[in-house]
Amino acid sequence: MTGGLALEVVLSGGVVRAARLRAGRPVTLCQAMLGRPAAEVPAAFERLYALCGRSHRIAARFALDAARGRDATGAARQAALRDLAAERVGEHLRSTFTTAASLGLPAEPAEVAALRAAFAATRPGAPGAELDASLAVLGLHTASSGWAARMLDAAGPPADGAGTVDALSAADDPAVLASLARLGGAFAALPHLPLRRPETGALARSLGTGAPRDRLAARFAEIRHAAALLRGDAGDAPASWFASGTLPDGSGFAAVETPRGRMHHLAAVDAQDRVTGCAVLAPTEWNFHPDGPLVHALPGLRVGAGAAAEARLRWLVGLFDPCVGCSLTLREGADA
Amino acid sequence: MCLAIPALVTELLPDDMARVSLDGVSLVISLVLVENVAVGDYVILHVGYALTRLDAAEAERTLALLDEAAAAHLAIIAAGAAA
Repeated sequence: MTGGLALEVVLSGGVVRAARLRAGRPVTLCQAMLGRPAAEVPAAFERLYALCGRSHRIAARFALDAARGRDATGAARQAALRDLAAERVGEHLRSTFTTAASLGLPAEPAEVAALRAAFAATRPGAPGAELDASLAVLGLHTASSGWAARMLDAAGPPADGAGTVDALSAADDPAVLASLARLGGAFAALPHLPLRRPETGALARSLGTGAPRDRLAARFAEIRHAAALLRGDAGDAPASWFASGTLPDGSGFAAVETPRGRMHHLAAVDAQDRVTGCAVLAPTEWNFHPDGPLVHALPGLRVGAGAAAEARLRWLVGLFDPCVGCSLTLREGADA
Repeated sequence: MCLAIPALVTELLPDDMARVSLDGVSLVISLVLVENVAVGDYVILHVGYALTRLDAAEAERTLALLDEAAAAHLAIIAAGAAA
């Protein structure tokens, strides 16, 4: 868990001149897993994380299986991919709704009911039958009207010259896992790749541009795709959603595309099937790195002044989708 | 990563709001994303919204795990301070 985020932005003439992000050191639950029977650990991860509990359960389970020398079965992988799809729909809806609500962007009563129904339909074990009808009420199938269209309008105009993002991808797994295995919690707190400033999440997966509207459009496109996967109308989930295996030292790893980005778990077990090693790197640590993509997206951004500036910046922070609260401080000045 | 800390619902308020007790601290939160919450239930929160409803037994299991995690975390801090 990250111990809270604090973003300080310096404005001049309605333009961001500098930005500084302070992140509390992540307090992972790995230490509490050491010595536990491995069989208990996936459920414990799911229970302890509020937003991406299913992703944690899946990553922990497959990392532990790999550490035991077991391969994931096809059925287990399919079940995991369905869980990831359901969690993705629910989290993207929740994140968009709570960010918009905090900015005073209203939802009609029928839309609130649809959000609640869709959220319920994506919970573990839910039948999911109401999901598509709820997404239709929200305008998510076309995003040309209703709640979804209003959210896109609020996010700003379509991209115009915004740069593409440096996406953290499955190809980065070997380097990420090697550093996580070598440096443990220090790397999980401040991850980095040489000559890179990678971003992870819906926009990175879409390989789109960094404009706020494109960020939200990428999120909505993922909702539609994940809902189609749950209906069985979209074939199999991409292979990049999920990977597991072993490192040279025999520990197991799993990399999972959670709603807000790629997450890595490492695990080791002893002969009694008790956990002897555990490390977790969460996507928020990449996106909200003090020298990461959010901080570098801000300078030069025209946001206006006062409440308008604050709203614009809160939207952008919400679209980078931190898994913890992020305070925002604005001040006028020449630089940081 | 946001911890799933159960909060006890102590009062239902108008407009899908509720008062909860989180580790002894009283907070007003939104229930708009969950259904059928009653006083005495526990909820998992994020940025002022209840995400999940738990019964008392589930909440106890979660709180016990969190206590173990907190103890492990404090042990790391103590070891670091002693080093």
